[in-house]
Amino acid sequence: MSRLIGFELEKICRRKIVWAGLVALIGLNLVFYIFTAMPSMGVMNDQGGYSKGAGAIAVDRELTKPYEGVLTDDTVKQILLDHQEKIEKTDFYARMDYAYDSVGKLFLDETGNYNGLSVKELYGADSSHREFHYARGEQQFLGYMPMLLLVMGYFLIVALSPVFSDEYMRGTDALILTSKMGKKQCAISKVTASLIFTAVVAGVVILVNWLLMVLFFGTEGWSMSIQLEMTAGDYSGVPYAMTMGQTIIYAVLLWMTAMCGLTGIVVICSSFAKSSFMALITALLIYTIPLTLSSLSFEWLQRILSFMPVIMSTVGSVLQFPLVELGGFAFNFGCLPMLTMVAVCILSFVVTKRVFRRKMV
Amino acid sequence: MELYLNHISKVYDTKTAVDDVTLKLGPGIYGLLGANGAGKTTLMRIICDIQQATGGRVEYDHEDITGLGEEYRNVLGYLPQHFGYYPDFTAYKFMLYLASLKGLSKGYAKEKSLQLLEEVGLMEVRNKKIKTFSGGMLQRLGIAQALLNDPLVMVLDEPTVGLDPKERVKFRNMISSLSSDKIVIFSTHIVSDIEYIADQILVMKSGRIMHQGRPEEITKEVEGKVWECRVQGKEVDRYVAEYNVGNLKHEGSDTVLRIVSDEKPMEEAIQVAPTLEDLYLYYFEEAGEEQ
Repeated sequence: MSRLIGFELEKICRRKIVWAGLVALIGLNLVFYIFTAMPSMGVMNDQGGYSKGAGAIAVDRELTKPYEGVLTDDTVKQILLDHQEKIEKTDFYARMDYAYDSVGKLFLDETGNYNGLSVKELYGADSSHREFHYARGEQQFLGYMPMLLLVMGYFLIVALSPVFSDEYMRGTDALILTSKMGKKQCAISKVTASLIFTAVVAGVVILVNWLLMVLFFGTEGWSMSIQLEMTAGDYSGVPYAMTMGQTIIYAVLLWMTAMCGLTGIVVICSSFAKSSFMALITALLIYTIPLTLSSLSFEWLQRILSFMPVIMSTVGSVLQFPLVELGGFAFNFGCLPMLTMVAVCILSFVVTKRVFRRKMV
Repeated sequence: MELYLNHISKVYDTKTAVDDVTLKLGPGIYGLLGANGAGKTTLMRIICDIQQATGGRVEYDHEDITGLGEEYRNVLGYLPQHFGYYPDFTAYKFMLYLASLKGLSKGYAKEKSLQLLEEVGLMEVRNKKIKTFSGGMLQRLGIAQALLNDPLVMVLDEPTVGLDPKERVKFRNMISSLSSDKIVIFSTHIVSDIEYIADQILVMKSGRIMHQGRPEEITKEVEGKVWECRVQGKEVDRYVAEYNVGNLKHEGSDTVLRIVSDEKPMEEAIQVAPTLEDLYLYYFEEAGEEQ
């Protein structure tokens, strides 16, 4: 069967639109990275020295050092005070103030002055929700990756919609279904090849971006409490202790399972559809509709939507729910959508095999 | 080895495509002769288990083919009427893909693919993309893939369409040279293909098998119904409009018409020995007119 899987992978990769999509995805990744991540950094130190890109990281980190540790009211006041001094020196000096961007803004009123809130009021008494560290790299990573994964979902839909439906359109199903392995192993090979394609594309994109983050920023920011992260997404409402590092691990797992689950959905659509166009439209609707519904603020709806690949990609929307308790054991709600997507993958083998086997030419 | 079609029927809404067909097919070459819409392709698809019969069942060696599944498909070779392919695959790669679908080992698949490509005259273009192939080349590729697994049951739907006379002769010779322990069913409109290679002819009309037998037995159906008439000038059009004219040949000022008719078309008409083509005209000229 490995040969069959190889052939099915080749059929996916031979299509020009797949390569065009890959180039566009890489291009988009570059755009996101260059304009929102490390290359876009420009930091001025208090001696007026200006650093760009990778060189700015050390300065940026140094400027954040005084505030690291458990966030207290005094730390917040110091962050706001120091930021004001930076503005008075030069706007540019204040432009990349990590501590201010991550934390300080929450403690300002409409006039731009300290609003008197205490850290315990905002983050709770549990100090594990208030661990502050320099996590600029992680912030950037969690900032642009969800958008990239969202676009990747559309790319996968375009690339994989024809996996089964193309056979119907070309008339090659007659040859396949009359061959020894055509009614069972062929369907399994198609789904396997699709999942391999997805795993490689998503895996490489995530890995490369993760490596860039670690290469330039290291992992010291991983111990920062996710609740203090305001720029990459709204994680302030995460109701349990969770570090930036744990969030990144969950993010990677959510992204991979979301993309694989989406693949399962797309191949199922493809096996039913009489044409690649119908498969594409159906898959696009299934992928996109949850996004349009996500603006409705009903908790029950948000919980259901968090099982959809497009919402899983946003990460923050999934992690906002309390821990799930089952038989005295508590686990992250995010595990449920992940397990569901794994189940969808398994189901896709069963469903497509059945549909393809019964296909009448 | 036996293929038994046991009261096979296929009904689509209001149309009966196959109407209670019962056939016992042992090793040999069977030519399925019928006009467009006779039900040939539907019957072949049912034999290949890619079309579900409304009634009846197909048995291979006394076992229902739907129950046999892989075991049956392992001995089956099929060439559909409209042959699907992957335009960007080379001929060789396409053969290797189908070989892997048919469960052939890697080494044997390479060897067999090259052998068959040689036999069908596509060896020199084996590394060219299929989208560059002519209709005849495509058809030859289709024939080659049907032979990959040395099938014991071969179903070929209009295999000679698009082939030039030389290629058709080659195809006939290829089919004829297949070992006698195979069941080969092929459908065609080209009567000469059947005449030269079929051991038995199955005449199909409106979903039913009208006749089954050797070519010389079948043509007896139209014995006494085939005439040669010599007419002149304007008379030709009248006879062509009124009768089933199989051939029209100008000899000087006269035109010799070969007419298939139950009654004698003119006093001077001469009865001639029927051919398979006359039989086809006798049965299917009405169907052609309806269409």
